[in-house]
Parts: sequence; C-alpha cells; structure tokens
Amino acid sequence: MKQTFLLIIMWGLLLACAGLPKMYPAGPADLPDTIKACEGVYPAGDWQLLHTIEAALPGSRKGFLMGLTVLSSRDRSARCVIMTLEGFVLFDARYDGRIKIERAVAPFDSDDFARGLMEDIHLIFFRPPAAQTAAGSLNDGTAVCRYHRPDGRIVDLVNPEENRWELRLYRSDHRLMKSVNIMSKDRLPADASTGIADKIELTAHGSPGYKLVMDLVEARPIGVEGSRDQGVQ
Amino acid sequence: MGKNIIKTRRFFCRVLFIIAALACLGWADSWQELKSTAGTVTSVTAGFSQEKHMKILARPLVSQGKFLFKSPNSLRWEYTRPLKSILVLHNGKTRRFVQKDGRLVEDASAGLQSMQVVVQQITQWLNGRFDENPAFEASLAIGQKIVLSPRDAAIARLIQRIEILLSNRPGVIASVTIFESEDSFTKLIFQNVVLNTPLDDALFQQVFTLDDEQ
Repeated sequence: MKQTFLLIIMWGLLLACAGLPKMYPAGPADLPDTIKACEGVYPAGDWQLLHTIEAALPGSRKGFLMGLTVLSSRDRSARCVIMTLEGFVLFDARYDGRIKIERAVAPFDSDDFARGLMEDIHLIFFRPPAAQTAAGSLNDGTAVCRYHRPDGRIVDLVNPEENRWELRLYRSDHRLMKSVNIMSKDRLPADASTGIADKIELTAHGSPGYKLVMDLVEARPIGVEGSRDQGVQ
Repeated sequence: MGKNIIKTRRFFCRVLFIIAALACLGWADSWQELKSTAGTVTSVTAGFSQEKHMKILARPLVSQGKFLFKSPNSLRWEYTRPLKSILVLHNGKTRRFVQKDGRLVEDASAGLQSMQVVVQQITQWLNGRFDENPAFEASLAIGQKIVLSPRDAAIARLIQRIEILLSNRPGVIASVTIFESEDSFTKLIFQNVVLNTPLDDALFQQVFTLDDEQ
C-alpha cells in the first residue's frame, strides 16, 4: 500500500516535471485540417451546460456538486453556477472581460477561487487566445495543435485516440501546469463534433494540486430548441 | 476549508430536513391543528419533482425523485433523474451516495455530523412544532401557505424565505418553494403522497436505487 502511494506520488511529480515535448511541424497541406480538427473540440455558439462535478478530497474520498455553465464562444463570456445536488447555489459568477461574483458561500467565497475557476472554464471551453498557432505531431506520431498564448503559456491539444483529446497547459518555463482529458461518447468525426464533451477530467499539477471530474448531464444550445442529455458511462 | 464545506453542507442538510419534516404536516388553519394532524403521521411515501429556476436559465432545471419518511427519524431522499443520488438517515447516521459510472459512490463532502440537532428538529416538526424552530420565523398565510423567514442574517444571505403550500388533504403538502433570491428559487412539488403505510427499515439503511428494487 505504502509502495503504491509512493509510486503515485512519484508519477505525479514526474508529470509535474514533464516538459514541453518536441513537435514535428505538419506540412502545409495538412496544417489547415489539423487545426480545424483541434478547434472542433471547443463548443461553438451559445450553450447551457449542466455537469456533475466530482472533486477528490483528502483521504481518497470524493465530493459531488453540480455545475451549471452558460457560455458564449462569440464573446468568450461565461456564467458559472456551482450548486449542491439539491440545487442550492453555493457560487455564482460571470465573466465578460472581468469577473463579477453574484453569490459566494464559504468555502467558495474567495477571489482566488473565482479567478481559478474562471481560468479553468476558459481553458476547457474556449479556444486559447493564441499569439501563434502551430500544428504537427509528437514523437509518437500523435497529432497536436500548439497554441502560444500572449501570457507566455503554451497549450497543447493532443488527440491520442478517437473520442479522446488531451489538453495540456504549460508554464512559460515549459513545466506542465494543468492537463485536461476530454472524452466524447459519440463516435463523431472531429469535423462533425459539436464540441460538447461527455466527460472532462481536469488535473492541476504541482502543489496544491487538485482534480475535478465533470460528467455531462445536459447540454442545451441557447436560442435553439432541443437539448442533449448524456454522459460517458 | 474542509470544515467550511461540512458547515455549509450541514446548513443545507438542515433545510432538506425542514422540507422533509414539513411534508408530513397536515392542512390546518392554526398551529394547534397542524400539531394535532402531524401527530397522526407515522410515515410518508411520495414522489417529487424539483424545478430550479434562475434568471439565466431559459428553462428550469428539472429533477425527479422519491421521498420516504418514517417516524421518528428515518429519511430517504432519492433523486432518480437526471442524476441518481440517495440520501439516507437512520438511527442518527446520515449518508449520501451518488451514481457514477454505473455504481453508487459515497459522497464524503456530505459529512453530516449535526444529527443530534437535526433529529431534535425533526421531532419538533413531526409534532407540528415547526413554529418553534429557532432558525426560522413561521407564519401562516392566506391560501393554506406557511412562510418560513430566517431569523439569522447569515442564513438570510443564503435563503430569503421558504414557502410551503398545504394540500387540501390533511397531512399532505402540495409544494415547497425555497427562495434564494426573487429570481433564483427551487420548487419541490410532491405527488402521489401516501401516509402511514408500513416502511421497512432496510429502505433507510441499504444502498440501492428504488428503480433497482422494482
């Protein structure tokens, strides 16, 4: 048991120390298709998304909440509401260039929490604001899009297997900061994807790290009839 | 942070128990009549539909579930959709389970350690003495409605008021609406309420969904 725990810690440290991998640039003919496929990962238009959020707690325990996200890819705005499973609102904030907290109950009542949450929402749901975008493949042949953000951080969007994307956020010194697994149940080709994932796993590396697992309960396009209720089982 | 989560959970759990206990209350025109009717209720079985209304929502979020109560202190609050979860209280112990990847996982953040307080409150409410709850001021309004207003400013920041609409049928309530603000509220509508049927203790102890049982 102790050895397993040590191995997990070592694996975590290794991941945290993992640097930016070398990318082999795509040829001019492949570049547009690769970038288009990457951009299909992000929701396009206005959406109302309801997720269950599973948070890892100390002692290998788990806690569950509901997360309501209303987002617009057009103006990169988002409204995020965190509720208990019974529907009581613990946190409600919007972002439209700056964060405005509408309601916050302890322990969700700090500015740091609101800022961190909005950063995570932007990382997961919005295409990175890139000063420079490149595409190609990693050493193992996996396709990758690389976004150099204006703040010096780098986002790699990797497609290691069908229906699964991995998003990796690196610091400006190329150390891995966060990774996000984005999984879809539908076997849709990337160019037909709605950009709505069924399951999202976000891991923040380093200390203190955290892990969130978000399962889609409902996705409702705003201004359009119909919704999509599903989740990866 | 962990203590704060538990504190917040405790508070919301208490509210849940207020709703649970009020579901056992009967129609009446006075506190005394409510107390008399409540005294005759030994168990409640009901379905419920929960609507979460918020200004940002084009349509409310709707959940459905089943509710069981057995006097004096056993409770089962089960959501069947969209997310399956079960909260059970029996012999002073509360646990919550959430269905993940096809199996039920215990929710550790629902560390509900204030059972003594909750049980005392349930006993009060089952006796129809909900107007004696120190956290809320109760008033009987026109139209078979009970309004609970928080006495404490800290609670008032979380919940503006709770409105309970009594059914015409003695011992049954029609709905409970919890207002967090004027444009954010949760409405619970009870259906198919059955009173005083024998309920097995296993329903409050064993973890299985009622759908599985059927």
